[in-house]
Amino acid sequence: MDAQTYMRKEFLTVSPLETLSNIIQFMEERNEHWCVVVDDTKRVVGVISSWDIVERLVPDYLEDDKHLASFTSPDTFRERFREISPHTAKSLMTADVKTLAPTDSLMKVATLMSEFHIHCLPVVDKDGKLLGVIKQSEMRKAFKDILTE
Amino acid sequence: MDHASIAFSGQFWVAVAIFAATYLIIITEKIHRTVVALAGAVIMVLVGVLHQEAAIAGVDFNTLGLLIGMMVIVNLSKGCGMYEAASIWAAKKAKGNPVAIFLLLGLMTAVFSAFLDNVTTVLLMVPVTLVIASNLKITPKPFLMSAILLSNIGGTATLIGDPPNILIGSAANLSFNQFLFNLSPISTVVAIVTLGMLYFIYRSVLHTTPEARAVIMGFNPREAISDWGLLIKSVFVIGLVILGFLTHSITHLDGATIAIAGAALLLILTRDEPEAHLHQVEWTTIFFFIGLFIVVTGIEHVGAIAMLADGVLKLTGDNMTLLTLSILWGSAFFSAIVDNIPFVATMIPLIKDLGASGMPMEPLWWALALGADMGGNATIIGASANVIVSGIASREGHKITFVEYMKTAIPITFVSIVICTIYLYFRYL
Repeated sequence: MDAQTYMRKEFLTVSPLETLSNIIQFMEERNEHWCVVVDDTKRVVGVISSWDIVERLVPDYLEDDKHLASFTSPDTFRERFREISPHTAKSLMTADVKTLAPTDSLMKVATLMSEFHIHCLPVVDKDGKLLGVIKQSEMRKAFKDILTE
Repeated sequence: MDHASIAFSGQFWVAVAIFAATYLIIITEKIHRTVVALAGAVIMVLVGVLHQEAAIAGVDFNTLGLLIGMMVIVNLSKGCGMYEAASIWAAKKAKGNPVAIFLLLGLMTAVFSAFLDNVTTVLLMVPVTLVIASNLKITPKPFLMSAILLSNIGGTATLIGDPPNILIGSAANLSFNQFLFNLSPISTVVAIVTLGMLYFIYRSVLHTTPEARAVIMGFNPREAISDWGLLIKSVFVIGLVILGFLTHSITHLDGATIAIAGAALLLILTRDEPEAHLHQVEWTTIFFFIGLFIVVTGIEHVGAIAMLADGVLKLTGDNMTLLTLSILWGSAFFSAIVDNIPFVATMIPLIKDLGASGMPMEPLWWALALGADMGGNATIIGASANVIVSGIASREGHKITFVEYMKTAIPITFVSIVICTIYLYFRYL
């Protein structure tokens, strides 16, 4: 049971210069919570999740002071999203990406997910080029396979 | 070894050089101020200016205990949301009127700052201010300026309001009540005048729509409270601590004892794991103080401070008025450009030496506190609260530039120090 057996080869990738408005559209069209940011040579440079976007949406002062969220003005959500929508993938992504080799065991995948609270791990070749991704749905598939053995 | 035999000896110059290098590097901000102060302190011991025992004896543990105790109490108590609820309540009481909200929040900042340290005050007031300004659909800049200026002015009012006051109170044995009787009247006057000037400057932007006012009127301050149990315990303990400070003349308990007792009591009442709360103590500030105490003890030990005091006395020619007002304006000037804590730490032994010549010392202490606390208002880097607020402002897209800040703050600081001059002159000189 290794990463290449279970990795998904169809997934969303975007360039580092893609804007958040476009990324949201792509995610919405493909019903994805994740996209992998790759450069011109298909090397992984980052990952963006819906979570990263939500985190960017919340201003620091509300994150620091949990007592105030219920008093924000009704327009704050819209205004904040409009403010961040021109931002590029490069500025939104998590750049420190944990990646997998195709031959990594599923136990290593599970350990990385559990240790770093990651929901999507890119699988890359020796040159760092993207081959596929493993998400929670792939893990679920592996669990099901064990149950039906 | 007495001071006379050390004066201008090799050790004298070594100590002065360590002191000067420490302060210069702190001012350049190339290396963290705490690291520089600790390094300066260690070098004072390593080169033999001070023995370890003398260095440790130079550390004012009353100041440290008071700071640590208050930090634990404040960090624990702010988890319940009472400070936010109070600000929301004020906005509602002001009926959503931007001018009334502006004035009330300004006064509230000053009052909070008199009991909490200035940085904690602005960290509590600025987020709530941003939320209220966004609801009122007005620029938060007037509120941000008011948060900076009023936190520094309010901090002047009490022994525990600003670290320089804690340093002065502890070193000069001045009680909470002495600070209250001598500094709170003048800081109230300066706060009111400052708010008036701020209103005059920003009056054209303090307007909103009836709809926005209605949103504020619809607020329920109780929604800001996340832990009623903690609120009751915090109010109880803060009340006891203030009572402890007020009754110092009867109990003779020092600041550190009262603050640490309050912290211990609040930790017992909440039964919280202490680790997280003790982590929240600003240990970098505490170690900065430790380093500074030792560096200053070093130059005091070699007689540099006594010589400086002699020089000051010669210059002012025993003229009490000239001396007091020089300390006020000099402290304000230095605090505007450098950190007021190292400045005050150095001035304390100097003023003590001046007092040794038979001068009445109280006016000198008040001049030092007023100048050091309020002088920090003049520039955006003049005090920690200023730097924190300008950082939040830029992150939220309301950048306050260095010059923009000074255009408002310098006239206000100048007027503040003029008012302090009049106060000191008529009350003490």
